[in-house]
Amino acid sequence: MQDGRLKILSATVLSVVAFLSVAGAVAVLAWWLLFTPRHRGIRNPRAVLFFLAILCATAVVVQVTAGGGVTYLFRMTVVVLLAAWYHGARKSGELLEVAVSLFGTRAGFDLGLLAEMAARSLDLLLADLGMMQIAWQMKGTPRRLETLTPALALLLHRQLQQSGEQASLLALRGYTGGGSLCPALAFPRRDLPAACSVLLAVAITLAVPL
Amino acid sequence: MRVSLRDVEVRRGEWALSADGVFGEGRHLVTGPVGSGKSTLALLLAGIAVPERGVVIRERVGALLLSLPFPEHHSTGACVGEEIASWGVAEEPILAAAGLAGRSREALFRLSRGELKRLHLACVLARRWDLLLLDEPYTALDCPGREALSAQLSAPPAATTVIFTHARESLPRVDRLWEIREGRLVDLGPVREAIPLWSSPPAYLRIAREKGATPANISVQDVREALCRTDG
Repeated sequence: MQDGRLKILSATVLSVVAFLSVAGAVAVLAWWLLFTPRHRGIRNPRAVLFFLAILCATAVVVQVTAGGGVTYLFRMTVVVLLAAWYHGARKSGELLEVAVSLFGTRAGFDLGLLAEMAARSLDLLLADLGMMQIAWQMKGTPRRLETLTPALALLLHRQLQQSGEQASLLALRGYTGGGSLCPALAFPRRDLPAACSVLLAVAITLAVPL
Repeated sequence: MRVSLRDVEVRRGEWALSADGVFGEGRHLVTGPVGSGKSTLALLLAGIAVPERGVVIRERVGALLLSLPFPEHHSTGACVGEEIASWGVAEEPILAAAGLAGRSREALFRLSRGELKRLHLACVLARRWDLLLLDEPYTALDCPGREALSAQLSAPPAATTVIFTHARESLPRVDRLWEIREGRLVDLGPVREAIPLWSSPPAYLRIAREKGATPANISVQDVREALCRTDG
């Protein structure tokens, strides 16, 4: 999928569809298998496994306390796969362009800029975590809570510092709100089957009450 | 103690790096512009990155140390003293070497990046190694810090030390020069023969070359001595 607007719209709609029902999750899984590069499109498989491990633990608790843990796990796994696809398929600057094209150069620009900065922070955080793992391996540091906590605190401190520097930079460049941007978004014809299939997934969810 | 790269190639989309060569005992300097692949090469030599083609062979390398550009990535202690202890080295000499005497209980995030880098390098250089890979060791250091590091790295080690840097202000004495040119690692050879072949030398070395001086090595001290000899 090439069109940034369709990408974000598909990810949002399909996430809701997958979460609402098992039938919807099956339809979204089929969509993920058909229209994404599947496991090859996942930029950070370790992060996905981490989220799946948390989901498994939550599903066990849900199953024991209220029931329905298995379906919860299935629906949420599909949502995570969808999120992993979007994270890998997103191009730098795309969120800003989509937000400006949808909401204009005032609110849209602010919203897009915020989204871009958040996405960039997430990328930096993942890169930092990867580097930390390498460094700990070299240092021979055991991964215990007492070593993880100060390391993660330092990482958080670094993120806050970077945010402060970014805010200063924006202020220095005269940013007070809004901005000019001409989004260069196109709708290629080859995105049509994937886009229509999103509607099909919504229809399946509404038609099959599971 | 040596690392050999045989017909190695790494690809990331359009970007590629190919390398062939042997990093034997002694000090090696690998230079190249930002984004040329120095960090990737360091990860390859450390066995962390895997090449798409070719092999990396490490011989008689027991203790391997890789220092990453950002010292925060290595930090696991809550305070300076804990961080030093996590490296398994004695506290007092490290505090003195890093210019942090009396600050053992200070929280790590209270240090500036330069101080954290000094602390990290002091811990790394206090350890024993067979293969030491220093990726951008001069990052975040001020001029005196850079000169002190160059002096420390100039001492001949009984091991293999590879320094990856794009820094030009101060460099240590080394045994062999390498350069990444257009996606390829080029072995320029032993330092004396390599200096005239170096395409991106530091300004002080370029000026010395233009004046006809032939320094024995690439440190500022060596170049100063060579210029004195040339000037008579």
